[in-house]
Amino acid sequence: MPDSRKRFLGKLVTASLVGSALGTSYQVEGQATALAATPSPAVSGAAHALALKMREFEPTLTDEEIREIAKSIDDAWKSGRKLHAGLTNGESPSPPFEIGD
Amino acid sequence: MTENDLSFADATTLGSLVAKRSVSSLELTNLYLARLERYGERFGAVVTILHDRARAEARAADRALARGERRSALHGVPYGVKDLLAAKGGPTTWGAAPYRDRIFDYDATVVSRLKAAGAVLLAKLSMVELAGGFGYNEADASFTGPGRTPWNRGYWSGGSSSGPGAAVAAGLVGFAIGSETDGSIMVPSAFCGVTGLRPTFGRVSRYGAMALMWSSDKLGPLTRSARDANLVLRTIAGADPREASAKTMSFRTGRRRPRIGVIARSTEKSQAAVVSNFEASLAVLGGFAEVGGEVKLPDEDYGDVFGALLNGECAAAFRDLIESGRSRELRSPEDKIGGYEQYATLAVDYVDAMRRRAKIDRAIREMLAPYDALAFPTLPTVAYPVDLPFDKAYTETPGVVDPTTAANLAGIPAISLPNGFGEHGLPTGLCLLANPWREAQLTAIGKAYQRRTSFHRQRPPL
Repeated sequence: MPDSRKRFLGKLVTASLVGSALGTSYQVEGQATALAATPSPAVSGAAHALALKMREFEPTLTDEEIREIAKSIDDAWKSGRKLHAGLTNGESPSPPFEIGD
Repeated sequence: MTENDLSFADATTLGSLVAKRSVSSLELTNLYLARLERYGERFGAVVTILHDRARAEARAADRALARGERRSALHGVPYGVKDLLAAKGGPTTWGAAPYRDRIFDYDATVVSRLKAAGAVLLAKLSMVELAGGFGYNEADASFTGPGRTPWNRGYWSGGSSSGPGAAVAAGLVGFAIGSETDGSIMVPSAFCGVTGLRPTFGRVSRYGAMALMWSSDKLGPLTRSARDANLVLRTIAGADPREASAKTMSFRTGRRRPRIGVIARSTEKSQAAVVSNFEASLAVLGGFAEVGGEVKLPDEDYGDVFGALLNGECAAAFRDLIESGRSRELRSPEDKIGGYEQYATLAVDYVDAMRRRAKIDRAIREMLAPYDALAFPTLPTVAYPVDLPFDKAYTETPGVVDPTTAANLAGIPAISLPNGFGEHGLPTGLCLLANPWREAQLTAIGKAYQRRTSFHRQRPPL
C-alpha cells in the first residue's frame, strides 16, 4: 500500500501535508512575484526557496502547494539529520543492495 | 463443477482440470473474460482486458495439450497482471493518467515465463498510480478510480496491487501477479481475503516492470491458496540476463515441525476482530508447529529509513515526469505535488539511510535466525472506507505496520493468509515472515494452515 506512506503512516519525515495550514499570506501575481513569496516562519528559508524552484517545472503550483512542499522538504531534512545520528565514519551503506546466500 | 465453482477454484485445480480435458483452456478463458467484463469495473479491478491475446494463448494451450504437450501445472490457466508489467496487446499505464496510452511492445520477463509455462494472460489489472510512490492518502488514487474489495464495495481493495487483490477474490482470474515495495502485495491480500506471497528481493526478475524503488521492488503472486502461491512463484523465479538483481536460488524449507515466533506487541492498537483472529490463527498453527517466543523487532526508525530511500529512488525513477510538470495530471491531490518534495531529497540523507539499512539487515537476520517464521497480523484493521482519506479512517491505528517495513528493508519474504473476518464483513490477514530465500517454508506453513481452515475458500457475495 502506501508504498509511500508519508501521511498515512505518519512515520515518515516528510510530515503530514493534511491539515498543515501555515497561515502565511502569499501574493501570487505570476511566477516572478511568486518566486519572491514570503516563507512561512515554520519552514526554513532554504526549503522554501527550493520549493519555489519547483515552479520552474510547474508554474501553476499554488502558494498553498508551495507551502506544503516546503514543509515536507524541511521535515525530510530534519529526519535526515536524525538518521545520521549515531552513525560512525566507518559504517558503510549497503548499495548495491543484494541478498546473499 | 458449476461455472461459479470453476471461477473460484484455485489455479492448481484449474491446471489439473485443463490437463484432464475436463474443461478447455478456451472455455476457462471465455468464462473469466465474461466475468472481467461483468465485474471488473464494479470493483475497479481492471485497466485493459486483452481479449484477442487471451483467446490466442488459450487456443495455443489447447492445441499443445492435444499434441500431448503440457508445459507446466499452470498450462492453460488464465491470469492477470498488475498494470505495471509490460505486455504486448495493450497499453501499460502504471495506473497513471500521463501514461494511459503508452504501449510497450514486449513482454516483461514474468509474463514471458508464464507464457512459456502455458498460462493465459487475460488482463492488465488496476493499481494505485505509480504504485503509490508520490504519497497518496486515499483509495481514489488511480486514473481508473478506487479499487474496491469484493467483500464490501464501500471499502478499498488495498494498494498498490488493488486490481490483483480484487480480481483474485472475485474469481475474475485464476491468479494474479502484483508487486510490493512496502506492503503492496500484503495489504490487498489482507483487504481482499486472498493469499499473497512477497518473494525475497532478487527472486523474481523485474525486467519490464515499472521501477518505483529499485532497491526494494519485488514481484509476486496473489492467489486463492498457498499451494498456488508456491506454484506461481516457482514458475516466475530465477536469474535473468536482462535484470541484474535476479538470481536463481533453490527453494529451501526448514524443520518438519516449524518453529514460529510471534512479533512482540504486534496486536497493539489493532481492531478487536484482528486480535481475536490472530490469536485463533496461532492456535491453528500450534497444531503443526512449535509456536512461541515473543520476538522484539529491533529498535529502529523504519519509516524514516524507508522514507529517505523511497524519496531518493522514486524521484530518480520519475525524474522525467517531475521535470515535465505532468505530475499535475495525477489523480490524488498528494501525488500532484509529492514528486517535488522527493526531488529535493539530499544525497547525504539517502546514503545515511542506506547505512542504517545495513544495520537493519543484520539485526533482522539475527532476529529471524532461530525461527522458521515470525507471525503478526498483516494489518491492524480491516479495509479502509473508499470515501475517506486514510488518515481520517482509523485514527487510532498505525497503518502499515513496522514489521512489514522492516522486512521490506531487509528484503525478506512474507506470506499473507486470510484468517477470518472483522468489521463490515471484511477479511483480515495473518502474516508470516521468513529468512531470505525461504518462500517454500512460508508456503508449506500456509498449506498446512489452509488444510485446517476454510477462510481461503470463502467467496464474497458478488
